[in-house]
Amino acid sequence: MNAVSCRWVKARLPLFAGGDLAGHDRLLVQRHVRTCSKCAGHLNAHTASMGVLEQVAEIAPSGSSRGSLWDDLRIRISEERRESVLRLPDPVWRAVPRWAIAAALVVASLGAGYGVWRFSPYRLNLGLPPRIVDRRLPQPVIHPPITQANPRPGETVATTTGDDSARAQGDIDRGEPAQPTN
Amino acid sequence: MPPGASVLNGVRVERIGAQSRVESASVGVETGPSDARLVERARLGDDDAFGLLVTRYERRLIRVLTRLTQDEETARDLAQDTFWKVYKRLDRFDTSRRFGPWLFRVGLNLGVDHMRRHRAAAADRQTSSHAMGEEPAISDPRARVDLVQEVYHVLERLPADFRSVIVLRDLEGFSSAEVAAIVGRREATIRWRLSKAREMFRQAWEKRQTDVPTLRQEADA
Repeated sequence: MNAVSCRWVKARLPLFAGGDLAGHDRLLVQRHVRTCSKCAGHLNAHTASMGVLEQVAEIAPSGSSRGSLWDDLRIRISEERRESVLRLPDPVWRAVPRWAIAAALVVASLGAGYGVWRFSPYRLNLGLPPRIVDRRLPQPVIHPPITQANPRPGETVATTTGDDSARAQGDIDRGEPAQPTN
Repeated sequence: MPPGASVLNGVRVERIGAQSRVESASVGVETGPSDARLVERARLGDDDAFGLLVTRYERRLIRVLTRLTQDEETARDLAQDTFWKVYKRLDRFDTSRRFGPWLFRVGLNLGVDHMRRHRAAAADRQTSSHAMGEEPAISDPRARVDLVQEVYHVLERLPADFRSVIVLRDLEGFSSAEVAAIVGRREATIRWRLSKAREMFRQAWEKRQTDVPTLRQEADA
């Protein structure tokens, strides 16, 4: 498994030069650069630039010339705390969870929508829920013409036939005792 | 000024040994109460606990931000903003995780935002300094400081994400895992980004080394 391409090695040279390549990959790169002068040249260039970075790393910018940040931060924290004490309490709605506000808004909009739909004049004309139509627009009650075939409720129509049973029934309807028959 | 210290772009720099850099490299070096305990105390209103966290991390944070912004004053301002932001968000911090990477992530984001805002201005500044032939010779006694200046000029031209990886890994000595925790990416991603960043730095550095003598000759002529 020694045959690795120069391209494969070149991709790993920056990590190899910085000591960040480990395990089998490191061995493969090591073996390859021993035999490939081109890759060895690339490795030298990477090693040189890593050497520059190492030199710079040893020179640290010093922030010790100034005091600690804590002095300013402590003042800032105590000011913030004082302001929060003086600040008026949050309004009640801020304490309510946002999901509750959203749910309430949804319910309110649904209710408003239903109200608009229910009392819409278009709906009263088109849709016909009888209860609402009767209440809103009372229809005139049209009685059918009074005929023998269509008696008024609670009335009986006199018959010309001498049917006793019918008469007796009529008497019953009128609340009078039926006449005894011989 | 302590021995080994000098001034670069108005920033005082001092020589630190490789050993001390390695010692201070870890994000989570703790002496005394743990970070998580201090955070708990700070949440309960103990300002001194938060003060301990500040003094524990401020030097390192300012150093990283100074390397990113190349201006100590800006770095101090950004570090203070970082601690303030962290203080305001202490309630959201998960104490089962490490405080250091979280703090540095907030700081790095502020630093990168600042770099992006001021990138154009910095490029203009560099161009004008080149044109005026202000590049000092490497053989000068201040060669080391000049080298730092050269490197920062090259780093300024890298995209912010790549530059921050080089600063954290190669200049500040954080491990790849720590950089991944700070940046909030997987370690494999960080290694890929580091490889790309080093390659970009090498190319830019070599180009700079060939360009600067040409510019200097033109200025002399």
